[in-house]
Amino acid sequence: MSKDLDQVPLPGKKIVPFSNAIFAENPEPRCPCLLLLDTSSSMAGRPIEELNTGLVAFKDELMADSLASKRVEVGIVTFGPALPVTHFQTADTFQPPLLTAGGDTPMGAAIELGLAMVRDRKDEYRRNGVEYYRPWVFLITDGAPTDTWTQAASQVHLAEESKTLQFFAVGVAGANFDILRQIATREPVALNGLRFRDMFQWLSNSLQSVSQSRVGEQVPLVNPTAPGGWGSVG
Amino acid sequence: MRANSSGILLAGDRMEYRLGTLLAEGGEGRVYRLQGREDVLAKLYSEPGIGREVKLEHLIEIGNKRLLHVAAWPLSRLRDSRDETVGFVMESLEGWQPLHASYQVKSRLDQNPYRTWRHLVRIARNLAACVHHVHDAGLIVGDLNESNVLVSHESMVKLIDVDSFQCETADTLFTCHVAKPELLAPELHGKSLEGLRRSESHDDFALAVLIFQTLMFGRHPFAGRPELAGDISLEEAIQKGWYPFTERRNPPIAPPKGLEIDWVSSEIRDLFEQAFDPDSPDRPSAHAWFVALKTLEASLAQCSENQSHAFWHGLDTCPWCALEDRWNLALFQPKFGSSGRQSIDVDRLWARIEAVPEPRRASPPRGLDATQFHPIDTLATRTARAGTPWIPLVIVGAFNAERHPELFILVVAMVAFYLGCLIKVQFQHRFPYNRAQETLTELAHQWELSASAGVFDAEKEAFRKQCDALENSSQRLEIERTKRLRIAHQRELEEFLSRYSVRSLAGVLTLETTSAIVNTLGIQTAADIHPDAMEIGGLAGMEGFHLGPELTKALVAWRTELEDRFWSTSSFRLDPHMEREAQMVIAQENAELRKNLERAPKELGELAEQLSAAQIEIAREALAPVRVIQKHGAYVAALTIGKK
Repeated sequence: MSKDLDQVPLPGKKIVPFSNAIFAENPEPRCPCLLLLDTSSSMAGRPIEELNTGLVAFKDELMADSLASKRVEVGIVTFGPALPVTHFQTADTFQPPLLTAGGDTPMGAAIELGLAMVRDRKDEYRRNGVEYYRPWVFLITDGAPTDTWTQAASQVHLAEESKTLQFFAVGVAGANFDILRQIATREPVALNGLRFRDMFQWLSNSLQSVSQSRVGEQVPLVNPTAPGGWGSVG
Repeated sequence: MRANSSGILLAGDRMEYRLGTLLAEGGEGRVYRLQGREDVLAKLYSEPGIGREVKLEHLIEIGNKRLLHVAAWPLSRLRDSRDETVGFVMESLEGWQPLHASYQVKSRLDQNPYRTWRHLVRIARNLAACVHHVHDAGLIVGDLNESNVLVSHESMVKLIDVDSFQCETADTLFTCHVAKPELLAPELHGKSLEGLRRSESHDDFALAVLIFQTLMFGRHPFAGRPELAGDISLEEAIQKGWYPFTERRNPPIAPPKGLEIDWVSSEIRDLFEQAFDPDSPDRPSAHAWFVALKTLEASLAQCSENQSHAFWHGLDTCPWCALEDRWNLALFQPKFGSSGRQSIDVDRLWARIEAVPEPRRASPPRGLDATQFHPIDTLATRTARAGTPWIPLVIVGAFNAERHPELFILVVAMVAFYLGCLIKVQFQHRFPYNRAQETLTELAHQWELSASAGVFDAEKEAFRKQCDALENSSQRLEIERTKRLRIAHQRELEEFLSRYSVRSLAGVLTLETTSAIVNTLGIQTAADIHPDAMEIGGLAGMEGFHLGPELTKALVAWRTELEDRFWSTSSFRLDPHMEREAQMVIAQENAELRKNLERAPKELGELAEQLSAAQIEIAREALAPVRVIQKHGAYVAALTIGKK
């Protein structure tokens, strides 16, 4: 059906106008996590369905931890075309969007848009006197950028060097890992099959430990490429 | 995947326990329910170790009534079939909430909506008491944080994770090697905690942070608006003593907007200052906090505008009213009605209304019926009454005028006489009589509008309804909340409804019907059923399909049932903005109602006087027309003799 090919943004929740009051009712330190999700037409069918299910599971996982639900903030940018679908909000107000696949893969534009969103959000934290952890940016794609991405790549590298964020790239079958390797400073991970659910569970667990880290307690990230994990080396 | 140990039998010190369901899982171990026991739980280590066993034995040994009162103390070791200690039994604190759920505005409004600042002060004080008793027993909490302090609905506080406390036997020191950086005393930052002896003072730093957060709506004392470029982490701010509210130093961090340290007494302010000063050698002890908070609790004032606002009485005006205005959210939730205060207040208002003297209750002026007069029949009335039978005679007279002129003259004379009588009666009696009747009707109408005691009764009834509304504030607030909740979550409702396909009704309706509904009306799911747009007479679809009224009703009922199910199972809560909006609506309405009701006795009193005066005035005005009617009634009555 042609209708399925149209990109329909579905914002998670109306943005509350009193942004500083959000921090008043919840001044917990924030752990922002930006998801850059490929919704190009090649994701149509099961991949996008699994991705949607994964997002719902992601919210449920975060909600299960009452502190993480108030600290982890989720923002979503989809690409095909690059659109902010969910502005940063804590897990307790985050409504997983219902994504549809369509369009090409403007990954470069999406990364730039996403990084700008992260910067804006950090400014808001600062203005409102709310502490934050180093933001996580999580890129998921099944293809190769259809736009110029070198600018985006250098921004990512710069941000990683200045330790202002952590960038992770995950490739679904069909992804161009050579380009992902040039964008991300970390080794990109190849998703095993369509195990989005496991991937989001891992992400949620990692964010939970990041948002409640302790001195003296080592919380090594569980290696997703270990046997039985959701990913493998791309 | 780790094996679930549920169902396993373990040996305690005095009895055996069988593990129930898994309750929680953390880095240190897992917590299980125990079968047949509601009062205790089991905590199993993820990695048992020799040192652990000795520490646990020591903790169990020193456990006394006071320690059991302030912490979920280990009560008994648990050993497996190989006689290895794998965990311990402790008190079950199910239903208790972590401290952060108490100091966060949103979770507090969700879980304990009627907690006031008084409760927050009490929680802080109880926390200080807990830490004091732990210190008194020679122990250090070490990893004191917002998640391992639990709070009951009665604002009682207990510490958990006792097995990580620092304790000391005759020959061994068992340290606590973990901490959250945002609660770690500045002198420990950057140090390895492994094997490090921690002191009471280190706990006192974390205690001061938690007390600050509890009193200041969850704000961390070192969080503020940085005045430098670049990020300032909490750890850095703690190490450098950049406490934004300090008066001793000049930190490059401004306090968050809206947050005032003056909300707390100067005594408490000084304690914070001392606790967050990296150069200050002695931090306030848990005992000092306890004493200061107890004093603060005894010096709280009650806001006159909002009964859910308790504040330190050193302030001139209620800070929470101002803050709620500023942030446009509800910090506290007023309790309407059930406190009894509201209802006593309404009773007083109503009693004053009841005491207003009533207006006169005279009967309104009425028109007088002509038939009640004894007719006075005169020649004129008799002639006028005779009327029509004369007409044939006149016609006969007119036709025969040529042959019998005298007869014609007679007829003319008779007609003239008749008309004369008729005019006389009409002008002399009938017209004045009718006019008087009209005046009376008009006066009666005026009476109903502006003189009857019924006007007073209706007004009083309206005030009674306002009293009811005021008394039922809590129900009205609930309605406002529900309204907002439903608007806010309409999208989720539609999503929920769209999961119910009309085709799933195939068991109830015939397959043809469901197909027809889907294909010709385009109603795929319950979300496509719009009760407001559904016509009672049914819906006409394409291809001549017509949805009858019964089916329409059934479909609407199906949607309503699903909606009800959705709302009854949903756990949506209003966010503090919407909560405040709802509260403001009710507060404004109540202020209006109260104003009206306060004014009511005066208004009603004046109305009663006006009405009584108007009654007398109208009765006086009615005298003249009544006299006219009485004068002419007998003649008018004579006109109607035999006409009934």
